[in-house]
Amino acid sequence: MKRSHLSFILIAVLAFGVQSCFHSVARVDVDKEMDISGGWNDVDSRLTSEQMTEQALSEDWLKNHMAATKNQPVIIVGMITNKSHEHIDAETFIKDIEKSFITSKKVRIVQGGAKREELRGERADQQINSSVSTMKQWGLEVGADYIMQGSINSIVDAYKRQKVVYYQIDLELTNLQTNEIVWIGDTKIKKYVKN
Amino acid sequence: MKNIFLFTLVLSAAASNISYGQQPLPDQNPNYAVSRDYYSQNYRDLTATQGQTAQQTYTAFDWTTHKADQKQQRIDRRYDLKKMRYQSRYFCNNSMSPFNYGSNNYYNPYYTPYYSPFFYGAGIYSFIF
Repeated sequence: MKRSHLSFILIAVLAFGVQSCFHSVARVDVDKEMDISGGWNDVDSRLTSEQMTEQALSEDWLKNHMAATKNQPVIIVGMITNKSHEHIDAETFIKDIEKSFITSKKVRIVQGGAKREELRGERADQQINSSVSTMKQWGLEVGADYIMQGSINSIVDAYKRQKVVYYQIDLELTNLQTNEIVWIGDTKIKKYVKN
Repeated sequence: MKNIFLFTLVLSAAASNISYGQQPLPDQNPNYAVSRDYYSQNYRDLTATQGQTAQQTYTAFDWTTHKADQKQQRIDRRYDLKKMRYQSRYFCNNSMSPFNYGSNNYYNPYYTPYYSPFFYGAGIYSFIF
């Protein structure tokens, strides 16, 4: 009886030990390339932001704008349309691009969308609750010169256990006064997945 | 009457320019106010999605997903068939008792509505069902 109890406890401890071996969590370097399923991941997002920033800051539209106005261009981020086969949120690479623009001091960014609504709400609140010397005035926002819009597209070619996935990310800057597209940047990523 | 109409038109155009702080520019389309008024009414909706990702995804064919779906469909179909067989056995005799053996409810050793004798005999019932 005693022996059976002991063996039962031993088996339970062993089972718990074996089960705990299956689950593990480890912190890894964010720059480390890790592809598991072959789908869109952080490496693709980082690649996109790096390539887009490099293209946007090195091409002629920036020089032309500086020559014409003597001021840094002001950009607002518009809508990005994901027309690929996966759920992809463009915010991961758009924020990296915005950050690079701001730190480069070559391009200025203004807030848009829901965050701008929140800002205006706060400004309205200040008109009632803040002291006169600190409340912010209406009608002094910086108007954007260009809007950044984009799209994410994909092509999937699959046969049995093999799959080729192609992503194309396009971003474009359009002059808000004239509707002229002044810059188009793209990133193309191709993956071969074998299951 | 015509003069009054023209005066009203000029006055409204002037008031509109003053309110928007915009003077007509050289080469500017004289009908710009039509577009301006239209978009001034809808600008909140048009700018609400700024900075967001509109998801218009499509479903691409994937062999492994397709295979898994087919397997799930087979499992679901088997389950539905089992359910239907069980329900038809249970309700066809107008009896609420699970111990009925057919239409007359007399014991019939050959009447096995659900458990197949083949599987029972082979002893693999528990592996299949």
